[in-house]
Amino acid sequence: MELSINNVTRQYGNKIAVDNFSATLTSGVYGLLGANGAGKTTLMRLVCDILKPSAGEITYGGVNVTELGEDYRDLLGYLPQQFGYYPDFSAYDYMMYLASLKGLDHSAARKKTLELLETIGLLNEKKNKIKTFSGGMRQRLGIAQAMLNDPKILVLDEPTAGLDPKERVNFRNLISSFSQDRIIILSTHIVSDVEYIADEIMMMKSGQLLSRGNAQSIIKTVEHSVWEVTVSAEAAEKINAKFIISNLKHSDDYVTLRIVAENKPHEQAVNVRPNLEDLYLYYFQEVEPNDNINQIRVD
Amino acid sequence: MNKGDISRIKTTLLEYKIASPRDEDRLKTIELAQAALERRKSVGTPLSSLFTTQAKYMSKFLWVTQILAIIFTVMTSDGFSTINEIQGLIFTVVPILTFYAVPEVMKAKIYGMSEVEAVCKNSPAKIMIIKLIIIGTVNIGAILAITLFLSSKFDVRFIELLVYGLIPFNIMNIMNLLVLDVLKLKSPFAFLSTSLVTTLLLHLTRIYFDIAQHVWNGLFFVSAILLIFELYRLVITMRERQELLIWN
Repeated sequence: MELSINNVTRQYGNKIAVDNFSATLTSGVYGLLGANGAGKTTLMRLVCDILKPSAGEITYGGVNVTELGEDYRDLLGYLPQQFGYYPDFSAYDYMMYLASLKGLDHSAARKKTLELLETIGLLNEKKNKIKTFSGGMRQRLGIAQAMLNDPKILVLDEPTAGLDPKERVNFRNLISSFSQDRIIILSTHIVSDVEYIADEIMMMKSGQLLSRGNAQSIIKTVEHSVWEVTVSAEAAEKINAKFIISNLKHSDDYVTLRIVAENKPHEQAVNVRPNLEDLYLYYFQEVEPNDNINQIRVD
Repeated sequence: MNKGDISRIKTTLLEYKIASPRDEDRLKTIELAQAALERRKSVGTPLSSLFTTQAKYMSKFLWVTQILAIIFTVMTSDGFSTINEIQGLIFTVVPILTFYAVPEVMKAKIYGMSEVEAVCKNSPAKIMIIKLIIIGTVNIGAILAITLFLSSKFDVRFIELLVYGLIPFNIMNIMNLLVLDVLKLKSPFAFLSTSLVTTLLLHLTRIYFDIAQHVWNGLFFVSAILLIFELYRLVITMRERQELLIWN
């Protein structure tokens, strides 16, 4: 089955949040990468049919998702960027309540709830109120609720926000094991998450699809735009003011800079292999002095 | 058919050669079966199950206020004798009944669950209608119990008392819906404050209790139409998914 986003535009007054976006998604994990305000959350809400497009349409199996209605929502799992909970709910109540809204009968809901709570490591906390949970625990619970109905389309908006490194690794493994024969769309600011999980990356800027492909192919677009140079602290300050710095490393009196620039930024700069972070900076960061440079000692 | 016939048929069938299907035909059959499986008509959730789940997860304060209001009526009505005193009691007790009505119906919006609930199979509009039916039935049931008790105790026409009871019910719900809809306030304290102020105002209106019965009837119809209109608007906007509370 195919999920097709056909020339979708969503406007809020004069502001265009999603601008003529088109993509066809088949089973696989898609990482949506973009800066704040790029339109990722709006796109996800459109995919979930929470928002209606101002123009264009989203279809699943050739049928408009709004027309599919309940049948479409039956296939859908969604983790919003921010989500609430009823204050008197325990983790178990929360899952059982949402399972009932998702149409699961009581015994199936109970089985799935316990199974998912165990997967996310909250089985021992199932009777505890959610208000006593840490941010990471709540986020894990949010991920679990999205998977309650074994969705064919799983939409996760910033799923790794608030998770510690160990929880992030567990999340990646969970998604990998869940991804077969499903469409998983996730957005994140944590570039490494996308790099590890996503089969395909969709770069989004100003509501438009900038580029799309697997990590290797997409990184290729900045192949000749990443440089490294080791210079004095004084020269480093000058370079920092002019170029996008993706990394800097201090060693004695010298600083090694990783620079993202179209043209050679310094006569001693050498071209290096780009990574996804360089790509992100290339597309999304305007030149602005890196604060860390202030820590450079100028003798 | 004797044993020999059966044995002959078996032998014929076993010897019958069927040509193996072509690989492409086999694949096509699998694809068609897969497509048929994916097109399967999903089974709807039984309404009874939705009603019981929604009732189960409703705030216990909603049930407690109903019981308290009825107990309060029974315990305080002993000292009353005039119709104005009975009206005063109704105008105090009925608003208490409705304290948790709107906050409970709009709970998803108040606690930021709208977005998660919006993508569930059973739509927010359907769930809201179920909540309205449950809470409306519980509230009106309690009002009926109170007015039935008072009309039998004081020998006042039941319908007359019911009209007195339904007016504050309508007004309280309209006020809470307006707080949510017009002022866009979603804190439980905003609803509680609105309920308390409205209760107080309704209680103070006892000075106007001498108005003619047909004016009461008129008030009831106007407030009922306003409430129905506000509820209709709420369900329609929710059905169109324009009213979801979405952060940022």
